[in-house]
Amino acid sequence: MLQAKCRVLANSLICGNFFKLVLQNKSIAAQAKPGQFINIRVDKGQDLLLRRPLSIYLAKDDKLEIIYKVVGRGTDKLAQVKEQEKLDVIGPLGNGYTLTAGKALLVGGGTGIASLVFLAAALKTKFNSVPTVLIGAKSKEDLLCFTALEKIGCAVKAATADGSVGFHGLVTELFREIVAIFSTHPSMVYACGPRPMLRELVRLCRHFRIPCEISLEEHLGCGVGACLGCVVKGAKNEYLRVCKEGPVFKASEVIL
Amino acid sequence: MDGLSVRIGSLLLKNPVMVASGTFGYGEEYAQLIDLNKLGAIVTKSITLKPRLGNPQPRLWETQGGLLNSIGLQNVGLATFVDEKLPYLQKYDTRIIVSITGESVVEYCQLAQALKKETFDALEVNISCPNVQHTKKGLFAQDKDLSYEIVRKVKRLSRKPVIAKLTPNITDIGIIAKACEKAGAEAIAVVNTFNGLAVDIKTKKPIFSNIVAGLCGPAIKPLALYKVYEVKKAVNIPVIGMGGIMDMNDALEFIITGATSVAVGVGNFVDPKIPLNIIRGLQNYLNSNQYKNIKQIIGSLEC
Repeated sequence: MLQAKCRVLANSLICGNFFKLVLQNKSIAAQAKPGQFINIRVDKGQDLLLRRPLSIYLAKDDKLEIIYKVVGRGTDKLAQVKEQEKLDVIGPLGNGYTLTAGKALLVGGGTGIASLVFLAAALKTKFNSVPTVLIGAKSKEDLLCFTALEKIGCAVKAATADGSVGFHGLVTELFREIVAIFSTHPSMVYACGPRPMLRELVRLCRHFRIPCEISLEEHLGCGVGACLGCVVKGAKNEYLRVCKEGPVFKASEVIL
Repeated sequence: MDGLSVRIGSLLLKNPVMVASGTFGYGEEYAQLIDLNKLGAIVTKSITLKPRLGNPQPRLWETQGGLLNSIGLQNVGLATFVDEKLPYLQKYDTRIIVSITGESVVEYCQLAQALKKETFDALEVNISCPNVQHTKKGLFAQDKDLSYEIVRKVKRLSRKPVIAKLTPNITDIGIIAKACEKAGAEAIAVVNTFNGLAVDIKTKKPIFSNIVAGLCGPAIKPLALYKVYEVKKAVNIPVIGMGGIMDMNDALEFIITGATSVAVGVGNFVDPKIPLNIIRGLQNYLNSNQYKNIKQIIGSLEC
């Protein structure tokens, strides 16, 4: 974990309301693991006080890439940042995914897919095996990272709510169909996406007895575990910090 | 940097900049980002006798220039604090101020008693957290008799310097400050968060399950500053000023108004370097204005 002023190499619209931010920082990139996030100060003034936590899409050499959606004032401010400007970044933060050998299935919804691309690449490097990836989106225009995942060599399947591409329905419904059909279940499921998607996915994984890791999103205060603002209910009825014990949890550790 | 050293009662600080309770965990959370040895003091998260679960989500709500919080005093509890958190802090060359809070006078006493033999520098008696139940009528720090009783008993039991942390949510904070001074407090921490509300316009419900939440950040700075002014008029003991301090100029405003020491709260979230930037800034300010000592500025407000 370190704090650095990172040069913005690119910050551009990729599709729908989604942006890709490319930052330059060798030390953070070298430390970053799939599932970890960086905390970016988006307002140099004193209006929006809190940093915006964004999970890492790619970390290579001196480059850190982030995919984000403009959803509010903070990300709107971030979208206005120009190339060559510098952003104050703290990272990498939190615990990432546990890399395990075997037949992995990755399930992402919305921008949640970003951290899974980083994971897919890491699984390939470490175990020389490419996971299958299911991507959920509202429609074709919002479908993220499809090509990037194919380039890694993953078998990629899409689910869109409006049926404009791929499976017509929720990504969790697609997951259910796929897992039910195959006689051999995946050895591990990794997921990142909206809370309702994760809730349903965790339920299905429990049903099929597949171990599962999920990456949670929450409003963060400090991002380093000090303020206790970002908690999630743990299985022992305690509150766990999404920024510190998470953002990636074993599905059995938390109550969604 | 001797010119920056200040005295809070019997407690000598190497510089007047602290980090406020609840915004800095138990110190370890920030150790990778800043040199804790440079801080004037670290005020820990408020400790309760037993571990506390805290409030359900949501706990945070960002407002313009501010942050509403309703954490509900989630903490590891006295035993774990003493076994794990305190030894970590003791490795650093800074003052450790342990913040304690209880649901009753008895609980404050038990905490003071239990912490008596531990090594740290002062106790902050937090009688002003807005996010938990104190008495049926309100917060301890809204009742001068209860404030007096808690500070008095803690002082007698602990033998450590006692700092009383007050709420701004009261008509006359001076009355409470005076009661704490009379009870033996060596300093008054001014102030805890201001009561605030946020509403979900879709559901027409409050954002927070407790309805009320505590507002901090630059949005409250002028309000907090005035509370420091009021307390300074009421008591002769040192005041520790806090509320939206983000830079050296903010810190100077508090110091000129009468704060002997200042604490950075939500500023730590914005940029963990803020406390150290303020320390450096104050030293430069002294040098460039030919002040030998920061004490020359404390309470220099000309009215």
